[in-house]
Amino acid sequence: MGMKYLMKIVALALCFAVTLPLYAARRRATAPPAEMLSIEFVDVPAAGTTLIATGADAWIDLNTVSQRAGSTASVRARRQFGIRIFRTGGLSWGTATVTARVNSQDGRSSLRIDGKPVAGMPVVIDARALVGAMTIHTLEIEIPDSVAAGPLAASISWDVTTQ
Amino acid sequence: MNKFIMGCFVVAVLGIPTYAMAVENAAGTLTVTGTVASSISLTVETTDGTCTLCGTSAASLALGTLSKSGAAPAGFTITPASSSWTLASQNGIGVKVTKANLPASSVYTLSAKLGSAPTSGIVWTVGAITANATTIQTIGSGVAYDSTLPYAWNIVIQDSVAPTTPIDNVIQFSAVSA
Repeated sequence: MGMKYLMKIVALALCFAVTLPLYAARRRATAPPAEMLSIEFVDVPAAGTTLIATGADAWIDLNTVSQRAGSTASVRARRQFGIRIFRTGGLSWGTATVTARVNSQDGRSSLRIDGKPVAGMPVVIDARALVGAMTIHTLEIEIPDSVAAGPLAASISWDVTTQ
Repeated sequence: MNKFIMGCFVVAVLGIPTYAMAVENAAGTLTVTGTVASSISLTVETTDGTCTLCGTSAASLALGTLSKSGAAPAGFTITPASSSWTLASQNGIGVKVTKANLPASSVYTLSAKLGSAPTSGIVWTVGAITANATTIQTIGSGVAYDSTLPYAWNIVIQDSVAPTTPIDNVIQFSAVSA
């Protein structure tokens, strides 16, 4: 009886020893995490300074765009930038899916990222982006000839989800 | 006893997938701004003779050596008069103007001037105007975009002009949306 009782206590202690750290880890993942996944937009050295503002909320200003002399094609502007996914306060490891969608737009242009048309629905830009590494992307804006001159504005929301 | 150990094992195993399936998210925003500027574009599409860079905004034409009694270049005529002669283009100069991001405009005005003053005794006529190097003059009004319109072009050369005098010049066209 005494031996069985002792074994029960040992078994129960083992269960707690195994599960408590795991639940603690789960709490860390759901409660305010010390390690947080983040995305930031950065300039690509080869493309020069493209971003007026960097970080998680970045800004690209195309300045003035117009049709090239002698061209009959639509006005097109291309800009290259980098995206870096990282984990603050922890090791950067694993991969993540990067999606983008147009959050708001003036309706005067169409947008492509890495050749993929981007509109209101999320589009997978990178299915396996390495956390901790920078990836280079190309934004292409096309403005039809029929659109009147004037200001241009669009906002693209980016989401990163680990796998 | 075995049931109790099994129960502990189940509790322990249930904890593991909860840890492994933790998914992390992050979000960012990229704002794009700019200004679309309207534009019009002019190209010289056709000329008589052998045109270089026709279809661009900087076409050129070499006529070679010309004389009152000599053969005219291809597409040109030479008409002698008592004290002068006229070199005339049979099909004129085809000029095309296109527009972009300018929906409010449907026509344009075309003007021309010479790049430099011609040698005394040489007169250039483009469209219906006598061209000079100082004043830009209208040669077409209310012209529709995207059509190639030919503009007459001739050069009158007085007999008094010295031999080997170059007649080189540049016709500068300019289009203004209306």
